[in-house]
Amino acid sequence: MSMSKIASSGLLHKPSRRVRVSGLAIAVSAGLLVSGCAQSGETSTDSAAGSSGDACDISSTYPSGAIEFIVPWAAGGGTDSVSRFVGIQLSDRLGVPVNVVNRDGGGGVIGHTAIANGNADGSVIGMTTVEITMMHWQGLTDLSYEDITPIAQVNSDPSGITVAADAPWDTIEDLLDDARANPGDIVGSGTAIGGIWDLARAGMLLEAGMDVNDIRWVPSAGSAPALQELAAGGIDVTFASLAENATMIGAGEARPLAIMGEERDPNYPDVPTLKEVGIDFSMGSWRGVSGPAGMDEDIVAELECQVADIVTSDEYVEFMTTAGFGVDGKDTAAFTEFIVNEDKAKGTIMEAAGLTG
Amino acid sequence: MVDNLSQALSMVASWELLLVVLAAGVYGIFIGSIPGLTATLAAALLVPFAFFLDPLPAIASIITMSVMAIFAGDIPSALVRMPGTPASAAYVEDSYRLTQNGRGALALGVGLLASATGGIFGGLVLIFAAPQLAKVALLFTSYEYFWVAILGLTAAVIISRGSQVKGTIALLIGLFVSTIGLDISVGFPRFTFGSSDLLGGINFIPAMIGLFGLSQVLRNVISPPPAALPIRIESKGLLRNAASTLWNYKKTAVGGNVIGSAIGTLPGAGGDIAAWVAYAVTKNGSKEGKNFGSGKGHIQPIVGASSANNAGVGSAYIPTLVFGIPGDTITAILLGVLLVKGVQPGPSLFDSQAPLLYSIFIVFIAANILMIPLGYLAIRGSGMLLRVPNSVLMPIIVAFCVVGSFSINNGLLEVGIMLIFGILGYLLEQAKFPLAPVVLGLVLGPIVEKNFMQSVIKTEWDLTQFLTRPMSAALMILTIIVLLYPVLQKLIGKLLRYRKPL
Amino acid sequence: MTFDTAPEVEESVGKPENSYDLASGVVVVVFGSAILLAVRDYPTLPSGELGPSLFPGIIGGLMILMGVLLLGRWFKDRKTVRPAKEKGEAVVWSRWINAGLIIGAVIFYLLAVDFLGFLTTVSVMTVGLIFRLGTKWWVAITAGVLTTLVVWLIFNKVLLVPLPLGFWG
Repeated sequence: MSMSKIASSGLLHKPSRRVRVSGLAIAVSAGLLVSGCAQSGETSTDSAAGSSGDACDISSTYPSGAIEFIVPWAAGGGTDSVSRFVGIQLSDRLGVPVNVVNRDGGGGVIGHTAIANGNADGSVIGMTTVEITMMHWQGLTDLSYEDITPIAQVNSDPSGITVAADAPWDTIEDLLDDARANPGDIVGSGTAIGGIWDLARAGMLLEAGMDVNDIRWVPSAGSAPALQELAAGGIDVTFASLAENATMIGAGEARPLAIMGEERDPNYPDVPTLKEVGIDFSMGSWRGVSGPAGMDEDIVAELECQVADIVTSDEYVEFMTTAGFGVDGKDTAAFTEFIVNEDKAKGTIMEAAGLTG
Repeated sequence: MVDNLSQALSMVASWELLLVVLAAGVYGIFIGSIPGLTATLAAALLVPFAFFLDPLPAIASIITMSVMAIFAGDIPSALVRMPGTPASAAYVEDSYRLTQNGRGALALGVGLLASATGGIFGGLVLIFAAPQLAKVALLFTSYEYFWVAILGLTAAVIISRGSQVKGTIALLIGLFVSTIGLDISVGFPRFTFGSSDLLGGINFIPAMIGLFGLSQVLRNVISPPPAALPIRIESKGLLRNAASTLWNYKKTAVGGNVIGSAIGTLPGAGGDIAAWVAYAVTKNGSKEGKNFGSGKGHIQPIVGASSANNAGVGSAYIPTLVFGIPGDTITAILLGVLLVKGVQPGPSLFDSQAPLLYSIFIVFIAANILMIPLGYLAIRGSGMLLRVPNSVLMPIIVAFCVVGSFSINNGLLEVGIMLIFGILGYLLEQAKFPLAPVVLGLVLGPIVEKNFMQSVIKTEWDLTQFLTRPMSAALMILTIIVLLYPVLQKLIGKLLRYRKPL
Repeated sequence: MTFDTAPEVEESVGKPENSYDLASGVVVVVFGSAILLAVRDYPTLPSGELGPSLFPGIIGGLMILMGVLLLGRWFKDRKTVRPAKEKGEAVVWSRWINAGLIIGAVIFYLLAVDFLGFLTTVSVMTVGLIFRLGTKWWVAITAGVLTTLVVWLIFNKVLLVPLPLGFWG
């Protein structure tokens, strides 16, 4: 069950907060402190790097002090919790404090801008999300992947297509046939207009040779309120990662019809992919560590190596699996290529769906 | 249930857990009593530690902390008129005025006991009615949410002291500011003047710090209060007096509890709206309603609203635990911790993991009991603040306003927002506009608009659904009754007098 | 809406309640009209109905209405309510300067903090303001610096807010 889309939106009215992962000890008091993720901070230098990270100590001068890790979404969401986990691990391995800082707002624009505007010496990095390939097409900002240095991908979650338990459609084909026959009668939700799950819907319909409005989109503040609407009968179908719907599916209130991944989700072996039903389309959200454009190659290589170590660690896999996130690691080269392709694909869909600004 | 409860009790009775709860409680009081810091930050900060704890202590630490922080938000309200949360903004006027008139200890003491009893009530609701209430909450679609938010707005008009016209204008200012940023229906940037910083809209926390905190400082230096007014938090007999006052207003407290539990159950609406609605209902139902928020302040609305927001904290866990739909940011964070601890929320949680679930409930109630001694100490300690001379206190408050708004999103934009709202707050106050409705407009504006637009997009502008859906219609009628209650009350009063002449 | 509104029992010092009504009424009407003007060319929903302009439009309209009501009340009461005598509340310029300095202090923070860092900026702000508000210089320096350090400890060290270091960092 991820909450990334709650965070990326306005459901939660409480303020977004920045959170630092390490070095926190005073207020919470010893009673809470069982294991040490704390660092003494200021005195740490590169030589203090943790044992597991030595093989990754590629840059001789990095890190020289605390690292700011920017999360472009609010505290409490999926991106936030993944970032915080990666932050703890990075701090352990690099031997310096890694301060996870939430910079929420503007559909990810503010936080991604903060990453791009940071010092390119590796002291400012952050968790980029799929939105970096979307917001510039929407005309919200000039910022694109060209303004950041991709370091390594850590996660991806394909979109799922979920209907209420008592819905009349048994398969994804049923749903699409109904939408073809009665264009615009079926309404779906999951994010704001032009959000990642809206694009998943539009892209699927286009690939299936249908009109983008055959299933209409109701904007929502995220997948949690959309799920609430689904259960209450306000909408017919949600587009979101299946993990976000896991509780409702488990409770028998909702039913997944398909996922937009390359292969089936091991947690839902009976749910087909779109490719299996003849629609060659996949889409999902993803997260990866990036820094500002123009970072030193050695620093990127060191971070790439550390993040790769984290992503393949048992702790990370266990954390992501229990929290319902998909583990998907890519190195710098693969991640960079992936972002470029994603950007093109998003542009095509958004243009066709009339979402470009 | 008895089996589960006794099993749960044995799980709760451990030294480790008690230590965690105590530490988290102190931490929560500390965070909550610093203006501009909310329980959300506190919860997020606890998360890394929660990873290393056993499931129960991990969850207990977050619950205890959030319960304490929400009460402690009342402390700066009473002392320096800076509400800690939008929920305490509803009654900031009353508690501050009581403090100014030497009854601050009573205001805080009553707030403490009302919060504790409200929290316990919410906890009991959680234990006995969670699955059923969750089912009801799941019937709510955008139509019903729209009416709930309108009910909240109505509360602002009723609460406004003095002129209803001015209260409405203040509300409209808040609503207008809430439309700044990306629009929900098509993603169009409104009133951003091309700045990408404003795309995300105006965060209401720095706005609230400015409206109440900075404007208070400006007012204080421009027209200083008479120097010979020794204001003390008199802590002698504090709890006894507070308890007897609370007993006098027991009906108000129960009303607040019920309102808080009901509205708090709705995911995303939560305790904020509950506090405002409870205030309005208390005002409507009280003979002295017209004195609320003015003059020397009144204790009764504090009872009502304070009971409501803490009862709401408990019921916010209902949709989280039963359907995995978090009711607010804190429950969202808690949900994340639950999942990492291998506790999958859902109706089955009530069968498969019942002992754990019941021990969570027990911790919740225990935290509310622990709140009384910890809160008592906090109130006593906080009184020292009032002995600091104004010439020193005011600059300190300015420093807290600046750093508090900065830490909302780690940017200077929020400090600028705080400054603008500080000046605005001063001007509004000078022209005798109430400030609290501005905050409510900011908080509820997006909820009203989002749910309205979702509803009309769903049905392609078929407005009849707002009236024909049974729950939606019932909420609409409730809104109208709350709005017209004073008029109706007079009419009924007159009718009764005709019937039964004395 | 004519509920029984509370007569203001306090704050008899200064001006009567409606002395600002003329000015506030005009400001509210103008502001409401400005909103209406601004939302005229906002986009509509794909289906053609009002979208982003609907809510600001309603708000602007209601503002004009409320502003007019306020003006109406001012017009009705202008004869009956006379401005009360200022009770020895002569304009004290130094107080307005104090208020200006407080606003200035926040602006100073906005402009200077990224360069000077939090500790320097806030020390200067608080020491300056405490001194200006009439405290001995040594008290001002002690209290100001102490406040800054306490705030720094609480927010930066305990709550882990990344307060700017400025040239220190």
